[in-house]
Amino acid sequence: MLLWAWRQWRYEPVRATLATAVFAAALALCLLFEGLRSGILADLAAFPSSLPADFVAVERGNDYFAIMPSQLPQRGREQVEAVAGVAWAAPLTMIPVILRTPGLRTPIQLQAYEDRGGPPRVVAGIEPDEERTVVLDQRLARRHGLSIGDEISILDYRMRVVGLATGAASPFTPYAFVSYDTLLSLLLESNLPLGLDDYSLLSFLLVGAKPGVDREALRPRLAAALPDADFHTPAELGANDRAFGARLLGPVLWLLSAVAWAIAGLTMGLLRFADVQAGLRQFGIQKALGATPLQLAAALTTGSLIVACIAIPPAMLLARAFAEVVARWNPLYSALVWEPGVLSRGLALGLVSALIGGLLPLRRLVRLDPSLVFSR
Amino acid sequence: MLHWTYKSLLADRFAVLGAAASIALALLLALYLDAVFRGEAAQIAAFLEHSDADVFVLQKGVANLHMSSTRVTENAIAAAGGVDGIARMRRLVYRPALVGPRGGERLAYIVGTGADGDRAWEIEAGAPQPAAGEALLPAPMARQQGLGVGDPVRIKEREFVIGGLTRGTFSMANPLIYITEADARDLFEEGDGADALLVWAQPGTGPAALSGRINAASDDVAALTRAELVTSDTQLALDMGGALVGLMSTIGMLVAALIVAFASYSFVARRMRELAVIKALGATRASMLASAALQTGVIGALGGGFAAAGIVVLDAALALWVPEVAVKPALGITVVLSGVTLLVAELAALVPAWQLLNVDPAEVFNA
Repeated sequence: MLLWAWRQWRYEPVRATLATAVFAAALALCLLFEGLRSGILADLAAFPSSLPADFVAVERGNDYFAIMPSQLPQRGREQVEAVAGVAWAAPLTMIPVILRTPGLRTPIQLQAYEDRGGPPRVVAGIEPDEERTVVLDQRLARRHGLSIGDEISILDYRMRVVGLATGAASPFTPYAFVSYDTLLSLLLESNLPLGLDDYSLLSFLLVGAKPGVDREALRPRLAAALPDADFHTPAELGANDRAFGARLLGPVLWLLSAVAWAIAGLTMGLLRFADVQAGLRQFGIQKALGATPLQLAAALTTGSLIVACIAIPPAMLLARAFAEVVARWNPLYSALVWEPGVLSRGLALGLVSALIGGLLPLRRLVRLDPSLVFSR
Repeated sequence: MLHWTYKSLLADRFAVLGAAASIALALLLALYLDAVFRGEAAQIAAFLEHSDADVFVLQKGVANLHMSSTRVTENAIAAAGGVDGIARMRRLVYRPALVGPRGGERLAYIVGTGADGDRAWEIEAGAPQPAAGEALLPAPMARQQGLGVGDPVRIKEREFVIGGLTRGTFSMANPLIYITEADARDLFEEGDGADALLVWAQPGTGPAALSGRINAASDDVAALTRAELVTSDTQLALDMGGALVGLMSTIGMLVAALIVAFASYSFVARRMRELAVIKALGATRASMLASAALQTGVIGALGGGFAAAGIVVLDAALALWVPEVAVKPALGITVVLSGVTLLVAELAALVPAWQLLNVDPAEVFNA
């Protein structure tokens, strides 16, 4: 079979190249959708997981960071700081808003921070320490064609972009960071009812433990001191946000992957059918020599595997190219096509599709009349 | 020549159907993504479309009810209330909340309904209006969680009883749950404030004129007509998914083009001797090119047709088995994508056309 495949490459290079390209494209589709699913879920978890704290206080009953707005009592910081073993507590305020630039709008999370919990990595410019300044996630900025020095308007409040950060993007909850001075100025300009009981400015509290303090022993003490909050580690919050995303988007993303696998299977069926048609005489000879349906099936699946294996390297490259195009087209979507889990799952399912698809012409072979070998 | 093409296509019908099915699936990816985003976009505005209020008053600088937070101040409410042409005005409580057991929650928007009974939903089972402590849930959401009328359901940290199941109120990102206004205020500790104002115009006053007057009366609000807010929320959803749909369409096209090119190439390669005979008998270049165009056109058209039929089947299957995915197939995009596929197929036909034109009549003597 290997010899046959080599001969095909040697004598019919255009056809063999086309066949490889077609299946590589189908495999690349499988990898792209697996990568998109993985990328969306990884992005949902990335920012909460990276919060620099031992615990994050979230409104009681809410186990998520970016999924659901959280409101803590205004004086929660003092209550937490008074707990034995707590080194520091840092406030965060997060407001869901819409970033609008001409012709495009994106829902974002506007996050105010004091000294911790800001942009994970500022890769260009500076942190937003002055009033009316903002740091945007780099991918969000790219999506809106914004760069350092540009002005944006949120809730009719104008701010200047002074920095770009990484690690704070996702298709549904990209982040923008401001100082508390900016947030207060924004809210005062909007004439919001600040200071009322039902409008707390505290969304989350980052909590750091003193060195040597047992974290698990600290957690119940924190919960007792601030009963309106639940305390999670950043990793737990990231995992919860990721699990929520998987629950919400699971059916859509799985169906996309399933359609991609079906394409891979059908494409392989088409390729093998074309090969069978082109090599009817050889198959006729094999049948005349007594090949059983099982042997014919083995021949077909071996052929499928050869085509699929040859197609894997170009498929990986093509998938990477597709992912690059996705990132340029809409930077908020990232497809992690070369992640080991994605590669192994995508390629394994692609190969299974190829094997199943490769058996589609089996019926044609089983019904083949061996006398065909004498025709022409 | 055309007769030969037709007969050859028939003889190769399984390969033709296989190629068409592969193309259809590649297109289906784009059509399905588009239908999902359209379905979500349509449902995002479900509350607004069901409401009969003429004008929605939101916080200054806010132009969306979905995925943003809004709060209207007492000063702004007083200023808006003093405008001429208002028949009725109501303070709306509309907030997102987690619904369901811990660890298996869903995101939903909670709407506090007024005592004046402005119903914005259709009822499938149970009571038409929520009583105190009751919640009206979208029927697909209740089914998803194995719940029915009379069962308890957790909203935020509080337990409600399902009073009824509603229709037309569900999507993945925007299910609508109705509870009494008093319960909503209590649940969100909102006092007598308002997230937004619903305003009904007096007869003879148009929504646009009324929203203009409210905007002129207060600097702290953004008054939008219902139509404007529906457009704004729908556009938000489409902006989030539009680029991805466009991209998937392009990638789908690329895969479809490769499949067409391969199918046509194989088709011609297998018939080299027949084609050599035809060429030796004096077939013109135009007729041979027409043959190539016809082969690929048939495969491309079949692929487009299968994709259009596939999206209808998928729509029905999803409604039955995965009701949490709201899909809304659009005929326009199906026609456009199928048309573009046909065009791409014809471009892909350049490969076999080049082969056809270069067939050597001496090929007929090859054994």
